[in-house]
Amino acid sequence: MLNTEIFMSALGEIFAWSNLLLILVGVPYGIICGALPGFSATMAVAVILPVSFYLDSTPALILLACTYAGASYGGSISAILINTPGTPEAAATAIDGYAMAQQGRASEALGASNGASFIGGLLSYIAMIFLMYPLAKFALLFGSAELFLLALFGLSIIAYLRGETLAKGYLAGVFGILLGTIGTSVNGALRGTFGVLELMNGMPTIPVLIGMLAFSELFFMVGQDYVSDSGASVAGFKAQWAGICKVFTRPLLIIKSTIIGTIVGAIPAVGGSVASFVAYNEAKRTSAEKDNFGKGAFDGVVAPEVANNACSGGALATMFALGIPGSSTTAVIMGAMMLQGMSPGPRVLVDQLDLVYAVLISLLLGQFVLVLGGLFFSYLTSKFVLSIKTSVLIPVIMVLAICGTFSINNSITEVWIMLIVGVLSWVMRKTGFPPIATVLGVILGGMADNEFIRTYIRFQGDFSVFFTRPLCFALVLIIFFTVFSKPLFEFIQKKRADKAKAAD
Amino acid sequence: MKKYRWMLPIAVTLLFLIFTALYLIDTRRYLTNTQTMLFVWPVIGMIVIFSVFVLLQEVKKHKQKLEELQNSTVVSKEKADGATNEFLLLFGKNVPVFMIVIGVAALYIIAMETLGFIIATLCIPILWMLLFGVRDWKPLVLVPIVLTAALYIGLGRLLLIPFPQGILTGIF
Repeated sequence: MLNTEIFMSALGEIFAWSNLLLILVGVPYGIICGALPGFSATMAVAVILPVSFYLDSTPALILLACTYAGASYGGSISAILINTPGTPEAAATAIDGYAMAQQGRASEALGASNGASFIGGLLSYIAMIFLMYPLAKFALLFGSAELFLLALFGLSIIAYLRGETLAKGYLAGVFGILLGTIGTSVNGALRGTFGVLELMNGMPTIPVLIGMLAFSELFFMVGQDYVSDSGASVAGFKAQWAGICKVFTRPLLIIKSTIIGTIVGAIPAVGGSVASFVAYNEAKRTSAEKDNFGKGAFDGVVAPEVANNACSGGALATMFALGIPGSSTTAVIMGAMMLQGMSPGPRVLVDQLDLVYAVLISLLLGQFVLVLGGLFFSYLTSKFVLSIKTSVLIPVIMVLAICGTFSINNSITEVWIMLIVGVLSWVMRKTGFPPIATVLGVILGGMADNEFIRTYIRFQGDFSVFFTRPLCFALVLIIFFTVFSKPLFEFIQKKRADKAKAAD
Repeated sequence: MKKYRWMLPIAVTLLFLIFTALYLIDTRRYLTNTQTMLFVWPVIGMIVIFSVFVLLQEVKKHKQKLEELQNSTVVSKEKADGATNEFLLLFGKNVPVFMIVIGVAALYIIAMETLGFIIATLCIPILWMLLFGVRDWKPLVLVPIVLTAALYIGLGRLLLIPFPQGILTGIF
């Protein structure tokens, strides 16, 4: 619970001009890094890490945490404008965000992602202040069986991502899952690497994302004069602000997605991409306008953005309370804490609670900077993207995508993978297979596979564990409902229609 | 081309199946125990099942189309035009442009490895823009220079990303 005295002291410390300046630098820097294709939040934090060596522990952590928060949001800007998720977390946002941009609603989509990121982060950090320790403890209840089912729940969205036919959607999805299992399995065996060294660590997610979503989109852009031929205008502040305000008309969706994001973020080694797909799936499952998802649904932007920003709160909770990094980015921040002479873990909450509160307050303040920075940066980016002819823009995006992909692991092989995947994605789209289902499979397939093998080893092949553990059972029920509700509903409707036809 | 258009989704499905078979062959070379394929086998099973579904659907769709064509007496001009170039109808009229874009992208990657990042990034965007019909000298000159400088300073110098230097090794 909140220690008021220490909280007030931390509040006083934050309002030092140097700390405020670091918030003002960290958040926009994170947004810019996040928006660059291939430049993940982890890279953004790692790059600024050396700067933190020259700072005291509190300002150093403020800078890194604010960069993390900014990068979590930044990925959505390029996802919405050019269907190129800057970070894997923004892949789910691209589904409806880009569709909105294509319909000339880029400002509304950018505003939605801005507002959703703001509220998702804000609620998650407030929850952290009060519930850090119980939240982190709850996250640790997720063992391999629960994580497998969580990945399966994320994958169950494939049932809705139908292409031309349901079978094509499923085929594209399971093919993605197979791609996701490429590499070294948790028990040390190599699968489907074809002798390529770079594939030993698994199918590289970011090159696949860029190839599947961005590169194939560029091929479609070739036939247009501008990115959006539907009269999309530059994302003005007023139009974006309207999008931000509209987010607040969805309180239930916000709360639900924040809970999903915070819990998934707190689970070690799961991450924002899983959270955003799970939240997207849940939003679609419970929406009254299910059929609008994938075609520019406003809620389809809000849910994943709230969740992936809430994720950073959950991940920081596990890091501070238990000393376990919830994601690769928090692992880098944890490294910085160690370099500053701190040892993350339960003792931090006793010995250095003022520092934890200072970071949380700075993140809360950072959310307001995020709204302003987001408005400004979205305006600039949309002005650039929407007002330049595709004949100039395509070469620029091509070069940025190739260099961004190369910079992840300094690997030319990954660039080739991106190009091959891009061509495959284009052909898939043209023949009615939804590439986003394959992307989902690649992101979640590896996790599902690893956790399934772990469950098998841990419980010695006893799969009844999926029904005997309470959390597992709850997840099984949700998955079952998600997968079978739509086909069952369609079947019943068809039967009714047939009956009515026969009666006529 | 028109005869084979309906086969394209089938070709993609077969591509998935061929990749799956290659995956299996490659994996069996290293396979050490059954746990490794515990999750993969059901996935492969699903790929086969859904592939069969898609193949059957496509064949059925094709048969239906043929029947419709045989039954219809009036062939609209639009349909007649489509029949003459159905490949282009499916893949858009930008197929040659698409091939060129892909070719130049591949050329850029090869040039990056051999000539180095700086030369490749200075030259290839010009080629792309010329292919897309840009003739104004300002974007043709400014875009590659600004792009190369921004990436070299931002990624290469500040973030220390070791871009291939190619023939300029030791100079930059």
